[in-house]
Amino acid sequence: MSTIELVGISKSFGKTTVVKNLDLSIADGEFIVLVGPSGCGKTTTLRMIAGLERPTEGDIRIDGNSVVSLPPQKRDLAMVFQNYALYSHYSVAKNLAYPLKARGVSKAEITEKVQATAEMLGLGEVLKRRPGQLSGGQRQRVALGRAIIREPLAFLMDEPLSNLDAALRVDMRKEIIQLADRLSSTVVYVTHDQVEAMTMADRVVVMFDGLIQQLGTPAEVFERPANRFVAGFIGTPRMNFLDVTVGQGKELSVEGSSVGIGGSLPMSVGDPVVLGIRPEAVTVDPDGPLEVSVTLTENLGSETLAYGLIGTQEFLLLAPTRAAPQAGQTVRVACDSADMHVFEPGALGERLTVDA
Amino acid sequence: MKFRLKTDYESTDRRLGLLLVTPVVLLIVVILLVPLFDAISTSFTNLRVPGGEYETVGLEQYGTILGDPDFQSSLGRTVVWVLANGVLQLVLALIAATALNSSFRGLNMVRAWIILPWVVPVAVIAILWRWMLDATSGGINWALDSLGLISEPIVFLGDPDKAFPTLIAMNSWRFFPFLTVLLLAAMQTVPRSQFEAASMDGASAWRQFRTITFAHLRPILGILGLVGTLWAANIFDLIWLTTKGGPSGRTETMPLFIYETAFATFNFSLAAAASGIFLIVLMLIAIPLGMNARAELARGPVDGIIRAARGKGN
Amino acid sequence: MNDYHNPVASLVKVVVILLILAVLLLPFLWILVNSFRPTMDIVGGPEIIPSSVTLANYTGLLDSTPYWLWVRNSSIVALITIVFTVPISVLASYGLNRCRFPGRNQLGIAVLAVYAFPTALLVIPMFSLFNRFGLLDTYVGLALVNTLLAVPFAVWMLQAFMRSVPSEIEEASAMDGHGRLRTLFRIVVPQVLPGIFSVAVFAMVVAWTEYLFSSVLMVSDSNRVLAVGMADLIGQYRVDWGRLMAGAVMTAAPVVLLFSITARWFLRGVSAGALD
Repeated sequence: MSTIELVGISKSFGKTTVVKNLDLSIADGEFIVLVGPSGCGKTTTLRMIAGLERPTEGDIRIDGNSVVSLPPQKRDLAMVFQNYALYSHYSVAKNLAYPLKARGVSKAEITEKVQATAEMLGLGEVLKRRPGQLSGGQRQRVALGRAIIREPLAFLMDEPLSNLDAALRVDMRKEIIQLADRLSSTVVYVTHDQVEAMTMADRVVVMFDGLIQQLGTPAEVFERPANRFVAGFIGTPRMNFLDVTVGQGKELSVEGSSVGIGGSLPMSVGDPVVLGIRPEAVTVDPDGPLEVSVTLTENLGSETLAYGLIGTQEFLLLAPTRAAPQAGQTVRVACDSADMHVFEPGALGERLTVDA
Repeated sequence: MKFRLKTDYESTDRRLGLLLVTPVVLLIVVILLVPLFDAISTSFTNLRVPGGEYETVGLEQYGTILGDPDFQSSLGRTVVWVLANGVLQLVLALIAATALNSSFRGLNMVRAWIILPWVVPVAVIAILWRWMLDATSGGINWALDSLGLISEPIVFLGDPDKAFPTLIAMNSWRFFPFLTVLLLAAMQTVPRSQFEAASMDGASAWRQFRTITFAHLRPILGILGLVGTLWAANIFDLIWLTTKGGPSGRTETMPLFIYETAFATFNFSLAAAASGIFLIVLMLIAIPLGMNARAELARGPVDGIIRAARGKGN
Repeated sequence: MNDYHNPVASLVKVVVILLILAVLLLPFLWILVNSFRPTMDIVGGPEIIPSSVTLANYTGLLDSTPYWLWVRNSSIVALITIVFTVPISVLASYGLNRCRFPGRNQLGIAVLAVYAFPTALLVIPMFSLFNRFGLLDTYVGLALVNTLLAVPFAVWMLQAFMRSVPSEIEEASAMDGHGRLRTLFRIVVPQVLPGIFSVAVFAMVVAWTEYLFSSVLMVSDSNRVLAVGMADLIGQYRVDWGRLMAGAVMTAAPVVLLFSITARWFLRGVSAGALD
């Protein structure tokens, strides 16, 4: 398994620049996830690693060797496509054998490897069938098998789970991680689903508008988002953002109330900033600094989502159903200052450090 | 935002592409362009028979042929032939495709067998229709007579006035099923939801046809118009085998005229000149049709549903 | 289309369909039936049910014409035509659709433009050209011309198929280590097989029905093809309707037979070609 390095990569299609000056170092055996909304450049980046797109600028190195001028056939990487891209006219066995045929592997060895891979993925029974006769999950596994059988330098996966239904997705997530562990593989995984990113990644690369917004472990991205975009993208339900102003000392002025943030900001009183609080981070507290007038509640079972307003700004809170407020009520909520995030104004507003 | 991300192969792509089209290019150059060039150069001579003597005479043959009244009427006739066939075949094909545009058991059988007239060699068609249209023993006259519609038999192919329209009908009969199958296929790709939405919006069946179906068909109609025109213009065998251009040359279209000039009156260079002019005329027809087809292809059928929806309250 | 049928519309549709079928197919049936009547009877006028039946028309033709020879020649030419047409159009169609090279768009139009050229014009120079290169009066020579007539439409038909093969599948093949040509033959071609079948059927029909070049380029009696042989009969048997009808049936029979077997493929291909 190998290291992959992207150095100063950018890609433009005509006048549109889809990936802008990206640097990324992927360690041997790392499971790294590129995550972001549609159009952020994550798939393009993956395809450039694969060799299916040529970067407009920059270098791609595998194990230190530049591969940027090599066609995909020569890079020894395996890719799992979103729609699996199985060869519908071949049986499962032949699909699995196909990558080995290019390498001049002996027939006996091919049969052996196909058998082994099929068993590893639970495909032993369907070897003679064609993709059209398989279920979505089985097709997914054939696609995986085709990638594994070659023992490539790294695995590239382009939203492989997005065509599966929810329940299947959860199962396959586990299977992929187990597989990656077992093979100690380097995996570059692309998804728009931040839950997948958080549960599967060693490190997460949050992308937007062709740039890396943050690179870090799932915990880092969640607990210390680098900017407002990352904070809003990672975590469900989405973080609340309140337009507030800097108050005296270690406080912010939020719709007339003062909220202590446990430290001071390198800004002047009255400067606008954005306060970010996750819905699950607030508790209903009659002594709390924030007043929420609840307009709508959604009972999710053990928890309830309450939609409300602080002043004129929308605010969402998540509480155990037993302690949840009702629609029409006005409650006070409190939040630990460690769970408060302050950002500069703007969609990509940088996180501001609070000096304790 | 999804880009059409294509595989980036650049120069290998280019080399491969050129390699792959080499056979077809060779085919066209050797089988088409070389003889074509030969013919065009012959048209600048006064060659009468291949292998005979000749001298280069510039545009003299062109002048001669343009002044030839037989050539003129043949050319005019050919234009009529092309237009009449085009319109008739398209109309018939649209009607047929519309009628067939519902799934019923046996649809595939019907679709396959209606093409029969196109599948059989022209000799068969010639025999079939010469017999059907025969004044004394033919089926058409017999049927018309039995129905009491005529008192004496109609002469079709032997009548100088009727022969040409008869041939147009015959040729259209031969080709329209093929067009039908193509149109039907295009029709069946229209997503049902477009019709359903239009119905909800109050659009009548006719309006739905006009705006949705027709919009979907435009691109293919463009291409068919182009190819169909070219095919029709070059029809030789059907006319040759039924009337040989008669009676009194009233069914002689350009292909026959060229053939006769070359093989009957033994004037190859004159025939070549006639061909040259014919070619130019065809190009003049084909190029605007081709442009039209491309424009339609770019437009796409989404307009259909919008127009259908706007049709309510009308 | 929806549950609220317009019964009048349905009736009209049925009537139109029956009308079409009648107009297109009845003539053939009629000829088939009448081919078994003696010429004397036919001259008298058509009958729904023949009063007397005979095989004389057929036996007469089989005795006086080299029918089976003609069938054999047509078969050979058709086969060679198919063998030429399929690879040329598959390669060209893939190249035009999946590769980028200078002149690609122009070539696409040029291929269809082949149909613009007056065939009557080409007959003469082709005769001398083929003569010079020993292709005159050969199966291969005629097949080449048929190929030229079949390829443009074939390429058009295959376009839709080529475009329907998702590019991901080719990318997967590349990731799996296979070069483009390998991918073309192992992956793309199997995916467009229905299209290839219909190209083959199209080529077959073109070869079996072609008249002009077949009559000019096949000079000797021993190489004559069915379409030409039977056509010559029309001049010979001007009013021997019986013989002519039997001739028509015998000329149509081979193609119709072949077509009935392969029609399914052809339709699939033609339909897809219309969907681009």
